[in-house]
Amino acid sequence: MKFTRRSSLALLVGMAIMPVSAMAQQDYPNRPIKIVVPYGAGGTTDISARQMATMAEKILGQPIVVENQPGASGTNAMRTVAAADADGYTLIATTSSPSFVTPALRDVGYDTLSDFIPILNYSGPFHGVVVPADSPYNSLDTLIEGAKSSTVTYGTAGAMGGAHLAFASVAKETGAKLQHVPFDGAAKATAAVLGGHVNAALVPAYRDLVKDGQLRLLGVLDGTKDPDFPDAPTLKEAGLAAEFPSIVGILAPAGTDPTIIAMLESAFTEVASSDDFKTFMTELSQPVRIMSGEELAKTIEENLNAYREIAKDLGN
Amino acid sequence: MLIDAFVELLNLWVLVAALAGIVSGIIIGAIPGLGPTMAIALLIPVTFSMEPIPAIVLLLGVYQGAIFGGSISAVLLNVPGTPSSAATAIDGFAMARRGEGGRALRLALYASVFGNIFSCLVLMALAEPLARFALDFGPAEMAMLMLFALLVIVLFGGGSKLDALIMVLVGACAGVVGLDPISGTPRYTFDSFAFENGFQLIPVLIGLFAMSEVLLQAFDSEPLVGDAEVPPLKSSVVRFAELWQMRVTLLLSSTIGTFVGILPGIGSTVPAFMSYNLARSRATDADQFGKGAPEGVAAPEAANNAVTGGALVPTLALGIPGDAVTAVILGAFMLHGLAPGPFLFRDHGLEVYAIFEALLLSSIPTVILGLLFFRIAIHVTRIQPRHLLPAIAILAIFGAFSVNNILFDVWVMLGAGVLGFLFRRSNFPLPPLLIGLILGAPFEQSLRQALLTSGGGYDIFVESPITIGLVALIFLSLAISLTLDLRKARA
Amino acid sequence: MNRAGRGGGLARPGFRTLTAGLLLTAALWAVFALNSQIQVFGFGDAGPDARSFPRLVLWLLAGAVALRLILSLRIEDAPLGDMSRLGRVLAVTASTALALWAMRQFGFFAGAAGAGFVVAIVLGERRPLLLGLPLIVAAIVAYGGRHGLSIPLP
Repeated sequence: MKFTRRSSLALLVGMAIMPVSAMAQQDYPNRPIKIVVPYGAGGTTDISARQMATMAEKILGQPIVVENQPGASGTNAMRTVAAADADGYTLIATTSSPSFVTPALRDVGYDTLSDFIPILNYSGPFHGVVVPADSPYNSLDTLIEGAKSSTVTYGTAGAMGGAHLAFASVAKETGAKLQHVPFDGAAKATAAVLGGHVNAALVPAYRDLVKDGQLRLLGVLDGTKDPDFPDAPTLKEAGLAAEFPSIVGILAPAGTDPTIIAMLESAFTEVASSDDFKTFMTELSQPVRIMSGEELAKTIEENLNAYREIAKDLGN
Repeated sequence: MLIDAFVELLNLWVLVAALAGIVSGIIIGAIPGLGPTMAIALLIPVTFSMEPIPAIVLLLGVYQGAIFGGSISAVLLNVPGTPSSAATAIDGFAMARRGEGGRALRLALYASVFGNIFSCLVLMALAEPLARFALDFGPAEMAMLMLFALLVIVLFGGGSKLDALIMVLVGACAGVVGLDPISGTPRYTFDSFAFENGFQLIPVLIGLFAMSEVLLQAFDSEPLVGDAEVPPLKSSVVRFAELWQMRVTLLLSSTIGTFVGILPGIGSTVPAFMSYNLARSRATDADQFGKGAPEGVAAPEAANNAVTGGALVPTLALGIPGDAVTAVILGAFMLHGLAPGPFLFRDHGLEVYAIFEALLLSSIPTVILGLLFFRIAIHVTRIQPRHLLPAIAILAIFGAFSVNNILFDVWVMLGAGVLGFLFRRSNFPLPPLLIGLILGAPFEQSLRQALLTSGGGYDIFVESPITIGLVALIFLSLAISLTLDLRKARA
Repeated sequence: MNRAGRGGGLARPGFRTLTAGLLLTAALWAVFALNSQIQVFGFGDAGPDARSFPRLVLWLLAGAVALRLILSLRIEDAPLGDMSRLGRVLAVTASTALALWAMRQFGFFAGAAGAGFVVAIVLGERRPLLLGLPLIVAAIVAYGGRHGLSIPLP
């Protein structure tokens, strides 16, 4: 009796001092994993994250629940996940804006670099510089030259977005008179350029309209070319020192055990590189762009710093 | 397209959603004091996890059911659930006191189905062409259109113009809170992250229409409808020939309802009374009106049901809701990824046409359920709302939370509830507040977008044919309102 | 009360005066706080900035409410009624606020059921069945919301 009690006490003490990480890696995951999506249900980020979750469930052997926490351009959800337990059971599927654009502009209550560990990047819609088909501008050069003599207006999906800041730094650098007009979402900015209410727009999801001949694609804001339009240069290729890489990736709160991160990275990468996932994303008109956690971390850090510089230049 | 969309409807869930919506609508609407806006606001969270088509079908079913339910309490108890069924109550209650309550309800049901079908056909004919036209609506055009809408609700919304103006401004001020749409800077956020998202429409709506009801009843503990005798119902039938005799009234009333509905912001009370007055002035036996004239029931019912289809035209084509109910439906569309505007029909044509057809076809179950239910519904009208209010309070907390899954929205709901109580108690009208909240921020955004594209020049507001037309409409409505006031003052 | 002879309005303030007074105070405070609550950093854009529209609507609101107060000086107001009725409204509001505040610690079910229960009591329910109703509704909503609609209730 006495012996048993002492031994059970020892067992308890042993459990208490045993590193939590060792416990965690042994039987992770042993309950459902939650992926927070910082946008509403039904958007492309939400749909792709749900597909990712459904396919990764089979590999990880536990249900993956997708939870939407829309609002405040994604920063609410980021703040919640940053404060969540770093046990690998709360992750976030996030995009460029709340990870490195908004945090560069104002205090959002989290620091993407120190509060998160990137797991992988799996998508990211290309943002194009589009003009109406009857526009006098047929290249980025003519657009910038044109903007030196008379003001060129361009629409984006919203105030202080990555696209806006990229073009603001182009304007500053070249001296072109580029006037930003923020819209409430990319669809409205696209409608405005189609209706000729702005001279150009920086929007994703331009593929069908460009192929249809309603819009002309002058270039892309990303670091790499859109494989569907090999003729459209990146801003850097056109000699403009700005870019807005678009990411859709999964992050975990900082402090999550490295073995758990590795496990999740391999599971999600397996899903993202599968043919089924690619077919699904093509139907959604979204590219599959895989980056490892390390690469994603580097992209976020570089851009966060770049955007901080731009924001400082703009007089914030 | 129409057939593909119809195939989408051949789904058990759509049918279940429609039936569940209509039945719960009739029940909520029949309870004196509970109206369609509140019914929809409380049921939105239930639709979150549903597919877009059944979700919207459910909400439209709730709406149609609640309107009919509202006429049950209006006719039998003289307690209109919404201001718009107040016109129905005039002759409906008179008929009920003669024992013709059943006949009045049947008439109301058939007239509302007629109005609904008529306006739905107009909606199907107009929405897509107007949506295509929507590309021509740039920031300047949108700004003028919204100014017109705000003006219309102040001038023609009924009641005191100053009160309506105050409410529109309160709504616009509430819409300022959050991030500035143009420069992205926080406004009145008190350095709190929660405020950056602004006041979300659905929590505010639930607060204004559901929570305020709880507070109102806590204030007025006397029951709304004592143990008033419900007049006995004689069995009755409404023959097709009788409806055929009213065909001109039905058609005129539906036209009024639909086209007044298209004008953003007026709502359904004005067209209901307009068509009641028109029917009376055209009638050979005008002195029967107010004493139980069947056409006095049919005219307002046809008109106020026709408003929905009309109000959905600008809602879907331009994203500008016509009244509180379409504002809620607009919110539901957005939640389900169907963003109104020029791309709605291109990207989601199938869903939208399926929804139109559902709206059209839901007349059939509405009639069947309506006829089945109104004997049962008489018992429902005896339910004291106060028995349900604790449940409504719980559902309000739940509904406000579930929009963004944050508690802040529930606080917003409670705040809106207290304000809603004060406003309703002081007879300030709520619909203008809602329209002000919905249109205030986009109005400011469009205005500033237009000025950004024009380089600060105000001539952009009178440059295109559309803006010139809208400015002319703005002056015209000011002139009409002024003449009406002068005539009233002289009379 | 000593000015009762003038009838209505300020002499016998009721709900409209109360509401309008609150609105006027809020609007004036917001105008006063405008510059500290809204930071402006321009890109040299032409036209109105982040402060212009709020300033305009707030002044319009203050003006309209002031006009309302002046015009209704002589008009009968909706009476506030006796204090116990307002007390009931306050009780419902306060208990709901308390429930929201407590939800973080005790969860959705306890908070919502508590609030519903207080509402039932305040509305004068005394029958055990009807007093139990809020508990049942709260349980259904909490369970259905969490498992049926997968909403992360507190």
